[in-house]
Amino acid sequence: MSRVDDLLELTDRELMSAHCSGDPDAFGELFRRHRDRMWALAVRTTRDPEMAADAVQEAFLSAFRRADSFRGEAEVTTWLHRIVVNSCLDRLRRVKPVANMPEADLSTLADPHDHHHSVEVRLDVHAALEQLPEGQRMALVLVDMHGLSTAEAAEVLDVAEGTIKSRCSRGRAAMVPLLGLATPPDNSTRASPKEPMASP
Amino acid sequence: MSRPHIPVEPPASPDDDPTGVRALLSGLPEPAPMPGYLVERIHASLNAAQSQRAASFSSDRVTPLVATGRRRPGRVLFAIAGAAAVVLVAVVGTGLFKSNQTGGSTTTAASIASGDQRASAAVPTAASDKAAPEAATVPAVIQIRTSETRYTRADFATQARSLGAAVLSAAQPTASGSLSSSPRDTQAGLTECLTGLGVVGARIVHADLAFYEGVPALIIVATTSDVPMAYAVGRDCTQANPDLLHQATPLP
Repeated sequence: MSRVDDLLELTDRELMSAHCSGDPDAFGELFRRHRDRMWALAVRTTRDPEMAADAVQEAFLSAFRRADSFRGEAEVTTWLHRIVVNSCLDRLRRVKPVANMPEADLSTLADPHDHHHSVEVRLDVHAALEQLPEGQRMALVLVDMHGLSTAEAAEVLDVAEGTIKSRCSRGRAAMVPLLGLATPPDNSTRASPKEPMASP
Repeated sequence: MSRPHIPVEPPASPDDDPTGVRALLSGLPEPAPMPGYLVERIHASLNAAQSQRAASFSSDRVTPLVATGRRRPGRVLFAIAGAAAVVLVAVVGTGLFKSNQTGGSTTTAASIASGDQRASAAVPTAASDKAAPEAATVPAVIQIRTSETRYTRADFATQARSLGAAVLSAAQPTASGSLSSSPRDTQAGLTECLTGLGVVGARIVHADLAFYEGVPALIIVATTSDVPMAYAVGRDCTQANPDLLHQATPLP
């Protein structure tokens, strides 16, 4: 069995241990396994391919150098997610330094009686996400777009799971007027099995 | 008599989303896989980091560069322990770094050759076949210049390559008052910044006090085991907070 095959047999935790013990190839295998997912996360978070490239490169380098800090309580992927998210947010905050915005109820932005507004002014999904406070936006990116569970997202963002659920709920509610959604969209073609039927 | 059947609502799932936004977001197209150029770039960075790590793992003669503890905010200083001699470059002013305000890009370079004491202080031994030359042959060199070069993210690698290729000039006297009064302070600050960046055993270091994306910055090109790596850091670079503005970029 070749060296590459040996590495393929190892779990992420085993690869981390091997890396910390000095194995020169172990981290490369971790990179190969998770690079696409971390890249997707960086793109979804930054919406800027150049910034995403810088962020994900720094994240993997940081993970390489600070592998000793991986305590093992969480999954390796969760740990990598956290490093990538922090790398992205650091860059975003440099470009758009803003104080922590209160998580206001953005549903008040659109007048519910202004039908013209709700139909004509419909933000692109990504533009709408940009309007959200960082906490809500990251919760939706991780849970709704990236597919993490609320528990995993809570670990990545280092907050309580209840906070993630709250941010998701408020973020989705805030997106409705921004997207011009008078009623929830028809989910018949792409709703996940867990999605409830939209009520009239 | 049978008890009436009272339908019980199932407990709400955490995934319930009456707004439909979750379905919208989850239905967005998945980003494409990591582009090939980025895979190669990260591979190169990891390989360079691995070379540095291999050198530090195998060395049994490395003398850690210990910070004196006297860290002055706003100063970026670094010291390099090379394979042979150590040459310190200090550019220190009352502020952080003074850039010559002569209406254009000007450079000042200062290099101070250390004494034999430092030369023997740290001689890391590389495990790979890219071992650093013996102490009697190539000295380690550091050169700092002050320019008003506007480094950009898009052209960083190209601009840094020019910095790394700059001819190491002889020591030039700087304006009075711009040299550290204490080489010990200089070494401590320099050590902190490079340590914070994870740079170990660099033999040649070029640094440029300039700007990165419009922000005052220090651009560093450090050559370790024949792999030049470029960094952009804030001028408050310290071990605890290297303030990395542009990630380590290999310059093959």
